[in-house]
This record gives sequence, structure tokens and C-alpha cells, in this order.
Amino acid sequence: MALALFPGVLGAAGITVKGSDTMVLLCQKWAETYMHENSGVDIQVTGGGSGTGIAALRNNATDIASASRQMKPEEVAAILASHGERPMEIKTAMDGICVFVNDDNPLKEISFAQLDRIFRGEIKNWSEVGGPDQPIVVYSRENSSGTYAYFKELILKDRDYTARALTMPGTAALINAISKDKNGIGYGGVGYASGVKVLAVKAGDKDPAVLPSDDTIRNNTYPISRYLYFYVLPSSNKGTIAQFINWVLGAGGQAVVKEIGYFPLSREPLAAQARESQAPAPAPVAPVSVAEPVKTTTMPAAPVATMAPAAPVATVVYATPAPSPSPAMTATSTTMLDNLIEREVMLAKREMAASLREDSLAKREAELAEQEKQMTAKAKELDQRGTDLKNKEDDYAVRRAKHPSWWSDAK
Amino acid sequence: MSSTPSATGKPHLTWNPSVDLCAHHGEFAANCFHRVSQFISTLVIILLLLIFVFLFKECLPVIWGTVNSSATQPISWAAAKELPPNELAAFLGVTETQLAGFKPEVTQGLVELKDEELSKKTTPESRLNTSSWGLMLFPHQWSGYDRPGYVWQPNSGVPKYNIVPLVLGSLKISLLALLFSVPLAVLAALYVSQLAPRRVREVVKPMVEMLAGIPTVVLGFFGLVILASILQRCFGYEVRLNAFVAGWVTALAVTPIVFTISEDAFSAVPRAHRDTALLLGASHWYASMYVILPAAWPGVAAATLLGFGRAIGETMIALMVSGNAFVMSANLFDSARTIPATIGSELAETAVDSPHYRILFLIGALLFCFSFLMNLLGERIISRVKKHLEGSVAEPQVISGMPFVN
Repeated sequence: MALALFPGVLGAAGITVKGSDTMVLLCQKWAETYMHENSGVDIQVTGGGSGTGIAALRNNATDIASASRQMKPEEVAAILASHGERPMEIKTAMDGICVFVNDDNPLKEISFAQLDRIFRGEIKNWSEVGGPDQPIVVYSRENSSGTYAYFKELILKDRDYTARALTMPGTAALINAISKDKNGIGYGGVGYASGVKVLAVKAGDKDPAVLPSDDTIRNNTYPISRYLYFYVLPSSNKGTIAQFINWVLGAGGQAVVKEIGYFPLSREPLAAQARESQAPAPAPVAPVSVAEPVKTTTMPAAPVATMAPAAPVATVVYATPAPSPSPAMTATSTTMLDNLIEREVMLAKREMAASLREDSLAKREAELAEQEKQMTAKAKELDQRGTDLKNKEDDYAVRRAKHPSWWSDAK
Repeated sequence: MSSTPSATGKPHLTWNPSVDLCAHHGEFAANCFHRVSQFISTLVIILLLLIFVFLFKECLPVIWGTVNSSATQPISWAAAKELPPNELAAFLGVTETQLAGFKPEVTQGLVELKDEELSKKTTPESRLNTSSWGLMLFPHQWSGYDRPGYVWQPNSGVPKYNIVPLVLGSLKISLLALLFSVPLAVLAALYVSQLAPRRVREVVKPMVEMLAGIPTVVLGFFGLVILASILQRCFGYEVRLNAFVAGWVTALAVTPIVFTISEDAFSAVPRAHRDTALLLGASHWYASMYVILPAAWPGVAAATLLGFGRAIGETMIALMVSGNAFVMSANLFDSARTIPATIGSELAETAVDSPHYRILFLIGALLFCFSFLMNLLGERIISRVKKHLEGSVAEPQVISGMPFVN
């Protein structure tokens, strides 16, 4: 604990994580748990929005950028121009974006089309979507937020939010505002929902309305699910940083994800993908964050689940090993692919555990050798003292012999 | 003081700053102090000028109109290899020296990324230069909107940089703050300095001045959580976080400044005025309102101007309480977006030297110039009024180191 408080003084390694406000609670809990288990590491977590984190990565102000959206091509270009390498994209958890309304609002479900028109300002009254005759007050996030950008891309099809949307600095502020405003509607990460009502969302008018929950997000029936990413430069992905990222992707980190209320990584949202491309969309849909499991432009030669055993450099990226699945997939090929993916994931986890075990064994051996050395040194010292004492005794014996009258027992 | 006898024999008393008054060997210390204070004042002036220069350097390209935020046509890598270096550098948005320093795979990667970025911008609006003065000041009909309007949407497929809603939002909230705080503060100052018994004065004056010590984040939090709900229940408007609430909370922040300076102004009015009025049969209240207040008018005007400067630069309160929607309407109960709140929330994520970055500096510079001009104007008005009341009022000590916590 003291090492965490005074890092520079005691030479503890420091990691900065900066970026998404959606992920800030999660990153703080990761940092806390990791620092508790590994003294000597100091992790600093800041929010500010996904855009802020990515800008900081470019300006060398952070080691890891947390983002709730993927990087745009111009951002990747900026990092490539200033650092000479593309950033590595690492999926760390899954999230569902919930639509929040006030507890007193009688509405229970809403469709993508209705959300689109509400957030662009075309629907202005609750009565048009089945609520009371009251004006709708739209709450949104600031434009540096990844949640803002993802929602805009997926639901608004890249068009602008309404000018009358009240922008709040963070999901917690947004929820606080909606809990006090009867006519409010807003969106945010699922981990923050308390004091407001969450609406069930349906992608098309014929689909069933789904509430976000552990099951519906993990098996991808909830339509607004997304990944939460870490971005890191390949040249800084080693040592303590790589160990931290490996821990986050492993059992320890994913348990924390579940505790906070987000969803640990599982398989790809294949069902959502299939549904997306089959649903009749009015405008060209670009669900890049949901459909494409591997964006080739942002990952350097992505090896699937390989780990160099002795050097903790590479990290595991949960990517589909097979080529991008085609839209018209049948149920059987889905399950087969699922099984393959699960097997790969398990193998990757086992390899990672094995290499970590090797590392710790090597450390133990080194410690034991050190201890042995110390013990032999001590033994030698004791021997030396023994001989010294013996010499002293002999000395005394000689002196006693010379002057027997000086000693009290020589009467 | 040295005294040198003049021609008429009377001693001339002059003050020689290098002669210490108290001790013979203090001459060096006095000289030192003199030089050091000269140096520090020059430094302060230079610092102010540097702030000016820094602000304007960042936004000058936008002012001259040399920044172009429109998109160009995508170029394939094969064609890009044939381009001369200055054209390729312009396409990628880097300087030629930077381009020369890139490895070939880096350049190829950059070209591919630029193509990907441009392939998303296919509407005819992408060819517009949205950072030109015309689009920044006048309404425009954008696609996807039902009528022409003033739109500030910097993070969009086609970034829109109209600054009029921001300027109007700032003015709305600061004028509201002044409207709520100046009458209260001036009348309170009048009461405390002229009418209150001594014991009441000793309690009220420090308490109002303590309001200046509350951090604005705390005030904003108080407004966001408590005051907004109370005001909505009282007045019954539809949008909970709006310019009205922000005006009230900013008034809380501005009141101590106006109070302190007005109170100083009232206390500086010579007692003779008050005593004469009372002798002639006026009541205390009549004397205060009709004799003291007009006599201290320059000081009150200075206080109002300072309060306005503080209100227009207030960041955290506007960020938390005003709702930040860039609506252009005269309705007081609509949300508003101020310039400092915009800069505070957007500057962290802009790319350095991008059009968005430069335009944020531009509105910051606008704010700076505006408050500077207001202060200048205020000084002129006040000095003219003072001349009018010459000999009757001592100039109040303005800007005596008030801590402006923003």
C-alpha cells in the first residue's frame, strides 16, 4: 500500500491508463485489484472521454488508452505519422449501451427507428411513441465521448444529434439528470444504471424487444452491444504493461469485469451480425464496431492466441480464426464455429497460464539459489567465528598456565 | 528627504529614492528593492503581451482564412507514389520535412488511412470549407436539417463550426447573472456600509466575502443537484438545466465581487456628504439612496464591469448547470452553451493544429478581446463620470488582488 502511495520514491513501475468515461470505473477497479496483488506497480487511471485518451496516446501522455469505440482512420494516421507504428487494439470487455428514462415514465420498449428520430429531434413529444403528452428532453454525452460516437454511428447512422440535446459531462451526470427529469431520455453504459429505468430495445419493428442483461448481451440478442478496447503502442507493450494487460484479459481481470456490471469477453456477436445484415435498413448501415471482429487496418499481423512463453511481449486478442462469416449462415455452422472458437480460447488461456507458471517457477528457482548462497556464506562466517573463539580459548589457557596464582580457583 | 536650499533660500524637499530614510547603510537595499520591483512589473506586462501573442498565433490562420477543412478526393497508393512531395504532403496533411522522414511502409499506411477516411465523406458538403468566416457566422442549410440554422457540431462527418450560438449563450448567461446579482449586491453593500449597526456589519460583511472562497465546482454541484430541481418546481418550465438556473448560480459567484467593491466605494464617500444630508433633514435611507449612491457611482460601475468579466469567463458552473445545448433562442428557459465550457470540454481531444483546435483558440481569443474591450470602455466611462463629479469622490481601490477562482 505504501508503495502505491509513493511510487517514485521506492522505484515502483508506473502505468497510466487514460480515456473512456464509460470504462473509468472498470479501469479503477482493475488497477486497485492488480496493485493489491502486485506491489511495486503503480497504475493511474483518468477519464475524459475516448477521444481524450486517444489524443493522449498520440501525445505520449499515456501508456494505455481506454476507449469505448474503435479508432477512426485519421486518428490511426496521426499515431502512425508521429510514432511510426500503428496502435494495437485489444478487446477487454463487452458492454451494452442502455437507453434510460425516468422511473415514472410508462414506456417499456423502443425501436431503433424511434430512437433515431428522437435523438435527431424529429419526434418531440412522448405521445408519438406511446407515452404521456409531454415534450421529450434529450440528454446526450459530450462529443469527446466514445459512447456518443458509437451511438451516433449505430443508431443515428452518422447523422447529427439534435441541437436541443443537453450534453452532460459523463454518464453518471446524465443518469443523475434523468432521475430528476420526468421527460428525459438518454443513453449510457450498462454499469451505471441505478435510479433510472432501462428500456427494452428492438432493432427492427418485427424483432422482439430485449432488455440488456448478462444473458442477452453474452449471447448477443441485445442489439446495442459493443466492445470496450485498450489501445497501446506495440513498442511499449512489454514488461509491466504487458503483464497488466495479460492479467486484465485473464481470469482475474474478467472476474472484475463481471463484478462491476459489464460483461466478460466471450464469443463474437455472430448472431447480431447475421441479424444486422438481414434486417432491411433504410440507409447504408455501418456497424463497424459490432460486425467486424478484426479490423485489418488497426492491427499489425494479428496472430491468433499465440504467446511467446518466456517473453511477455505479445498479448492475446480474441479474434475469429475463421474468415469473416457470411451473412446467410445456418444454425449448425454457427454452433460449429462457436465450438472452434471456444476451443481456441481455452487453448490460449492454457498457454498463457503455462507461460505465467514458467515465469513464476523461474523466479522461485532464482530466489532459492539466492537463499542457498546466503546460507553458505553464513555457515562460513560461523566457522570463522568458531575458529576465532577456539584461538581465544587457547590464548587464555596459555595465560592461565603462566600465572596460576591470579586465578581465583587456583588456590 | 534631502533638502537643498534654492535661490530664494527656502529648502526644497525632494525625495531621492536611492537615499534610505532610516539608516545610512540601507542605500543598497533600497536601490535593490527599487530595481526588483521595476523588473517584476515589466515582467508582468511582458507576460500579458505573451498571452496575447500565444492566443493569436494559434488562431491567426483561421482569421486570415488559410485553414481549409474541406475534404479532397481519395488517391490510390500507386498514384500517390508518382506525386511530387509537396502535393503528397498537402494530401496527407503533414509538412514536407515530416514526409521525408517517414519510412515507405509508414507513408503507404498513411495514404491508405487517408483514403479510408475520405471514402466516408462522400456528400457534396464535404467539399465545403467549414472554417471559413461565412460559414462560421451566418446560418446555412445543412443536409439532414429541416431549415437553415447556426450549427456547432465539430465531431461530425462534415464538421460544422458556427460560433454564433456560443457567443449568444455566453452573453445570455452572464447578463442574467448580472441582472440577478448586481441589484442584490449593491443594495446589500449600501446597507452594510451606511445603515447597518456595527455589530450586524461585522457579521454580514465577512460572510458575504466568504462566498467568494467557495470553489465554483461546489457551486455548480449545488446548482445541478439542488437548485435546478427547486427552480423547476417553482417556475414549471420544461428543460431542467438551462440558462436561467446557470444565471442564478453564476450570480452566486459574482455577488461577492460586486459587493466588496461597491462597499469600498460607498465607504470612500466623504462623511461630509452624509452628515450634511442628515443635518438638512433627510432620513438615513434617503441620504443613502439619493446622496451616497450617486456619489459612488463610478465605483459601482467598476464593480459591475468586474462582475461581468468574471461571469463571462465562468467555466465549471456553465459546464455543469447550463445543459450545454447550442440552442439559439431568446427564451431564458432554454439550455445554452458558453464559450469557456466549450473550450473546457472539447480542447482535450482535438488534434493539435487541426481546424477544430484553431477555432477553439479563436473563440477564446474573442472572449479575451471582448473582456479587454469592456474593461477599457468601462475605464473611460468611469473616468469621465469621475471628472463630472470632480473633487467629490475618491477613486475606489479596484482590483485589489481579488482571488478569481474559476
